Parts: sequence; structure tokens; C-alpha cells
Amino acid sequence: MIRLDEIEVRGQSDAGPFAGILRLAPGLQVVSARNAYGKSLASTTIAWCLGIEPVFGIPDNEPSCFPEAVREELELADGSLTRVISSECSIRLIHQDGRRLKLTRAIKGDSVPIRIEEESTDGQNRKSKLIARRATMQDEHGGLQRFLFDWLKWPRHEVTTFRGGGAEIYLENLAPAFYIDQDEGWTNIQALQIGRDGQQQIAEIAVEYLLGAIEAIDQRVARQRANQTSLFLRESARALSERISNAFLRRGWRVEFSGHGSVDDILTRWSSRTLRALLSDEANVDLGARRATLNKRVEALRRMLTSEPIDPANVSAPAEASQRVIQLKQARHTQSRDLNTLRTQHGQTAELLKSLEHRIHAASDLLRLKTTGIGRLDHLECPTCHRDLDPATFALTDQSVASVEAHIEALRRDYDLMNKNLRSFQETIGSGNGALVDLDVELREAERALLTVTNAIGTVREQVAQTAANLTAAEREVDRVIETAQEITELQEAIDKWIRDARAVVEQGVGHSQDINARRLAFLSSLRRYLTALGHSAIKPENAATLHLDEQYTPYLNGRRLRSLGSASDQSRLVAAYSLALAAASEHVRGFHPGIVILDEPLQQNPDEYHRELFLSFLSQELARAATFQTIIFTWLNAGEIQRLREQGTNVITPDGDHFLKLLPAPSPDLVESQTSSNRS
Amino acid sequence: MDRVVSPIHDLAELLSGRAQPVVIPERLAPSASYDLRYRIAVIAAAFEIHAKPFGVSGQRRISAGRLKLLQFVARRPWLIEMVRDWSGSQHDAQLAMTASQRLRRGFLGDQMHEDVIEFLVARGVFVRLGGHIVSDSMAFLMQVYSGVVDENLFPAERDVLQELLDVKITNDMLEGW
Repeated sequence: MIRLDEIEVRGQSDAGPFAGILRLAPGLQVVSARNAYGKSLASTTIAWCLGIEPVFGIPDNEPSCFPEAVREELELADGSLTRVISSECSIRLIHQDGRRLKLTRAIKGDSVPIRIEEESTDGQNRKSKLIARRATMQDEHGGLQRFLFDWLKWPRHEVTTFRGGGAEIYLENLAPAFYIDQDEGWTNIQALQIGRDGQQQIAEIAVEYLLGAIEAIDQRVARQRANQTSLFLRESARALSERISNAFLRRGWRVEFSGHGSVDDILTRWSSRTLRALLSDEANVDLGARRATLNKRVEALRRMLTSEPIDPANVSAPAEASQRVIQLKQARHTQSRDLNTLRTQHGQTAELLKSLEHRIHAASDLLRLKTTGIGRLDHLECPTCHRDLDPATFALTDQSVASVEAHIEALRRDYDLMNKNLRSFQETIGSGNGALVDLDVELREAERALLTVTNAIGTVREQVAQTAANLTAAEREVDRVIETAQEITELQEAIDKWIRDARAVVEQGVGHSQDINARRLAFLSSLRRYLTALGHSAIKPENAATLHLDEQYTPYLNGRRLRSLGSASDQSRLVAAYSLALAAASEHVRGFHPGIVILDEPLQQNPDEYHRELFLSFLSQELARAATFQTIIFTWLNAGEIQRLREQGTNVITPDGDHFLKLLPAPSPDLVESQTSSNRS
Repeated sequence: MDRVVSPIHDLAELLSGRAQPVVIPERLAPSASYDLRYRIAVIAAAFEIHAKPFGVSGQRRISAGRLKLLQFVARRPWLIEMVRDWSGSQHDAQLAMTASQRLRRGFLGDQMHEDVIEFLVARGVFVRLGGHIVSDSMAFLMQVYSGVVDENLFPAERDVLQELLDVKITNDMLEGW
């Protein structure tokens, strides 16, 4: 734990040097000063010197979070303004082990570096200069946050981001739980939490870190990584199944190989049988048997061509070759015609789907129209014949809500059916295209064979030419089967790799930390105490026990979010209680909380008397005063309130003057001269 | 008899020689297209988007045939391209005739639209003035249309009606033969 010892702002203006200093004590203290005194300046100084200005939603190193008094014009005691030439601020921290640290950063000037003055327990001093924002955690030698985490003896921890990579937990992720800014900090629990680094569940992780639940963070990160891996596996399974389905359809095989469902489902399905087994079962394709048959045919044709006798009286070769070409042409024509019909049906089905989609939208909107009452027709009678102007008189119907709902249901059923038809058409067209390509190849080969056979002179040459053409065709077919088998093997390897990856994820699993339970319980019981002490109107002693925290550490009471219960002014009580309870719980469970809670203007959130009274009563209570962590409250109290708190033992700091920043008396010329000569020497 | 149930009874009568049809109209889920309020909502949108100011008392009017075509296409957004082609082919009488056959048959035979207009005329929403329909009581139509826009209902129908502002619809297109 650390505590804030001093806040200082100083600078140079046209009217001379100016400065403001605020010394702080351990434990609870209220810094009471009027509006425009400079309390917010002091409070902003803390965030600025810690290099966590992104919590204000501003770019790095951008001092626009400060009031103009330290950036542009300083208001003097007589109300006149003077131009600010340069300004800087510093904070001094004291560690519970006695080490001291002073952080100084320019406000008007070069705000990128931060000057560090370390004082060890044995009194040794060390000065250095670090970079406030850029690579603040990654830069081993110059990063401010890396240095601060080391100085605080806090572990650095990497978490997952929405972009799929990793990012560390930064101080600006932890600060929203203990630094409550006047403008935005009171709007919600951890309202200043930032998302620009894209860490997943960073608000929950911040709470766990401050409670010291590193094991729980590890498991949370492991779960997030497992989810990301699972998502990646599902996507890759879909891509792989599409690749396989396309490869099958190209060859005219309509085999269902789905990559949909959970990783477990896909794993079970894909592990149950290989691609070859699937092809054999579903499409009766056995590449091994096909290759063996083709090899036998090649052998037989080769024997016929090389060694077997040829019958000179056999004149059937040209007729056979011609017949084959005719058959293939007919098959190609049939296939082409079927494909044409399928394409037309596909187009019509797509059009019908579009129309169904529109009709579903129209009917759903009609349902909404009926429930909203737009265009409702009042009862009216004809002024001439005094008959009811009922829609039925005009053969019109105003359908009931139930009827429209039934229609939507029927349309959805039709839509699903037509969608299935569309997919089926797509598959059939895909496999038909594959078959057409195969037929084209066969036809080209048959035509070449016919040309050779008809050019051959004599029956013997005709038979030799035909056998040679058949042999070539059979050998080409063997090559195609080998090529297909090779592709199937490659696809199977891709499936096997996917199965290995998926098994590794499934078997790895993610445990559940027991360590977090005690820390969580400590936080919850502190929160109950602080909510009661601060006077949250929804929390009573009799129902405080039912308050619980959900997985996101959001407080719930009787199944409802506490934020939505009580009065509007309870919102600031909830934010204060949450921050204070977290600090108290962290102290109890030895977490990684800095031990400082800054509440800037809690009374401005609701200026009514009852709210002030509740807050003053809280400050007088033992719970607030006895806390060992440092609580700094910037606000304004009237003289009576100050006296009352002081009488009850609460430390109230009332700084002098109208403004935090004051012009300093000019140094005497002798002093300047002596400083200049000592610098020269 | 209900417009939806009537054709089913006709079909049942035709089948009755060979089969014993059982008609249970209670279990029918008629299309939203046959709902009066849906048709009124589309007509209100078509009128609000396409009607022109008429007279000095803030009334507006539209050709009855144009309104019939507009509401017909608005309920079938996929027909917009066909209307565009049809409009574009107006310089060629033969081409115009072939391009429009299906669409013309569809919208001219939309009897329900005529019934809805009659109903709205009877209720004093519209007045027929020759071949035109004039708004008599704008309040009802405006109320329906602004309700539809506020609730973002029927966006596809409204988009088509907006697109049709750029399509030239001639009198030839609106007449049957």
C-alpha cells in the first residue's frame, strides 16, 4: 500500500512564478474549499502525474484535462489575469515500507517525459526520466508504468483483446476503481474505464487484480482464449467442409460433409469415419477398387495390343468407336438439358425465396401495425342509409393478430422448405457440372479414337488403333483416379489436423479458481457495510445479506441490479461504496490496491440537505475514520459542518486563500546571483 | 363470403364429384396481402409520396389507375425492374405490350384494391373525381403514414414507392385493353 503525501503545481507567468501545494495525511481526510479554488486541479494532477490521462477520454500527453489557470491564464488574487509561460505539477507517494517517490510532469511544456525522484529506505536518492505514455509498460528502461508496477511490487499481467492478441493490464484500467472524477466518475461503477486497448472483460479483470485474484484472472484469460480458439476451430471447420463438398461436387458425388455445430459435435462427427469410408458408404465410391479394376483393364488392353492374335475378319472396330461417340453425345445432351432445367428452377426458387422474405417482413410489420394501433378504424355508419360501414360490407377483412401470426408461421415454414430446395438445387447443379466435365473429357477421347480408327487402313490396323485408343483412355482414367486419391488423402490430412487441434482444446479444459471465493466474499461483505453506512436507500440491515455480485462484479439485490434500485441520488452512494469497499477488501485479502481512494466532489452529485447529511454522517462513522487506506475527498463544507466533523475526529483540510495557485514573492537579487554562480562552478 | 374462403369453396365444388372435400376456413391463415389495414397502410404511403396538391383547400389528388399500379408494385418490390423496363419501352408500342403483359394483367385484376378504395370513399377519406382520387380527409391518411414512418413499418414498400418517383408512368401504361 502507498499513500499520497503531497500534490504540488508550480509554474512561471508574466507576473512571476506561481505555485500551489497541498499536503495530505494518512487515512480519511476531507479537503474543503470553495468552488473555483482549484480542487479539481489538484485532483487532476494525481491522474496526470501517474500518466493515466486516457481515463478522461483525451489523447496521450494532452493536458486539456487541466483548467486554463495552469495552461493559459492565471487569475491573480485581485481578479486580473496573467499569461502562463510554463507550468508543471508533481505528486509525492510514500510506500508503507518507507520508500518515497516523487513524480513531476510538465503541464505547459514538454509533457512526454516524467521526472522521477526515488528515495529508498536507507535515504539514498535516485533521479531518472521516464516516458509517460508511449510503450509505457513495454519499454524496459523508459516506460513509466513498467517502473511504477515494479516500485509498487505489483505483478504485470497479460490479458486477451477483442482483436485476438494480447495486452497488459494498465494503470488506467485499475484507476477507475479508486479514482472517481468529478465530471464522469460518478455516472457508474468504473465509469472512467477505457476500452481503447481492447482488453476483454477489463472491468472485471480490474476488480480481480485489485483484490489480488491473479489465479482467477489467469482462468478468465484461459477461458477467453479457449473461446477464441473454439471460434477459430468452428470457422476453419466450416471452410474445410466447404472445400471438401466442392471437391466432391466437382466429381459428381453428392455427399453431406457438414462443418456446422459446436466443436464437440464436429469432433464427434468427423472422428467417426474417414473420408474414404464416407465416400464408400454414401456415394458407393471405392477408389482402391476402381484403381485395381482399371489396372486390370490396362493390363488386358496392353496384352491385346502387344501379344494376342488379331482376327483379320473382325470389322466391328469403326462401328464400336462410332457408337461410343454417339452414346456420349446423347449423354452429354441429356446432362446439359437437365442442368438447364435445374438452373431455371434454381433461379425461380431464388426469386420465390426473395418474395417469401418480403412477405414475412410485410406480415411481421402488419403484426406490429396491429399491436401499435396505427390506422385503427373506428365504428362509422353511412350518413344516408345509416348502415354500418363495416369492412365486411365491402368484402374486406381486418385479420386478427392470431391469423397474422399463423400466416407468418406458415410463411416461415415455406421459407425453410424453399431454402432447403435452393441448397439442394445448388448441390445438384454442382455435381451435374462435374459430371458434364467428365463427359466432355470422355467425349473428346472417344472422338479422337474414332478419328484414328476411321483413318486406319484394313481391319487389323483398325483393331490395333481402337485397342491403342482404349488403352490410352484407360491409362488417363488411372491417372485421374490417382489424382483424386491424392486429393482425398490431402483433405483427410487436413481433417486429421483439425481433429488433433480440437481434441487438444477440448481436453485442456479450464478449471475454476477457489482462491477468488474468499476475496469475492471479503469484497461483498465490505460493500454491504459501506452501502449501509453511506445510507443507500435500497439497502436495509434486514436485506443487506441478500446483496450479491454477479459474474461481472455488478451488485444485485433481489434479482435486480442495485443501480436501478433506490433513488437517483443513491447512484453516487453506490459508486463511493464500491470504490471504498474494494480498497477495504483488498487490504483485508492483501490484494494489489494502491490503498488510495480519491472522491472528487461527491456532494455536487446531489446538493440537497438530506444527501449532505447522509454523507457527513458517513464521514463521522468509525467505518470511514478507522480505514487504514487513504481516502481523499475533495468537496466544500460550511463552517458548521467542518466543526462538526472535526469534533468527531475527522481530518478536514481547509487550505488558505481563494485559489490553490498563488504568485510567489520574487527572489532577492543576491539569492539569484549566488544560485547562478553556484551553477557555473 | 370471405374473399379468401370463396375460391376454396369453388375448388371444393369442382372436386365434389370425385372426392369429398372438407373445408375448415377457421384453420386458414390468409396472406397479409388480404388484410384491410395493410392495404390502407400501403395506399396511404403511395398517396402521401405520389399525390399532387389540388385546389386551394390543401387537398391532394392522384390518378386512380396510377394509385392502383403504385400500391400493386409497392407490395411486390421485385417488380420494380419490370416497371422500369416497361416505362423505358413506351416509345415502342409492340415492345411495350410484350414487356408489360404479366404485370398489367396482375394490377388491373386487383379487385381488392377497388374494394378498399370504395371503403375509404364511403368513410370519407377519399372522393372520386372523374379518373382521379382526391383526399377528402387528409388527417386519417397522414396519421397512418406518419405512424408507419415513425414505427419504421413496411420499409421495403416505402422504398419502392420512393424509387417509383423516378419512373415515368404514362397514361398508356395505366389503361387496359
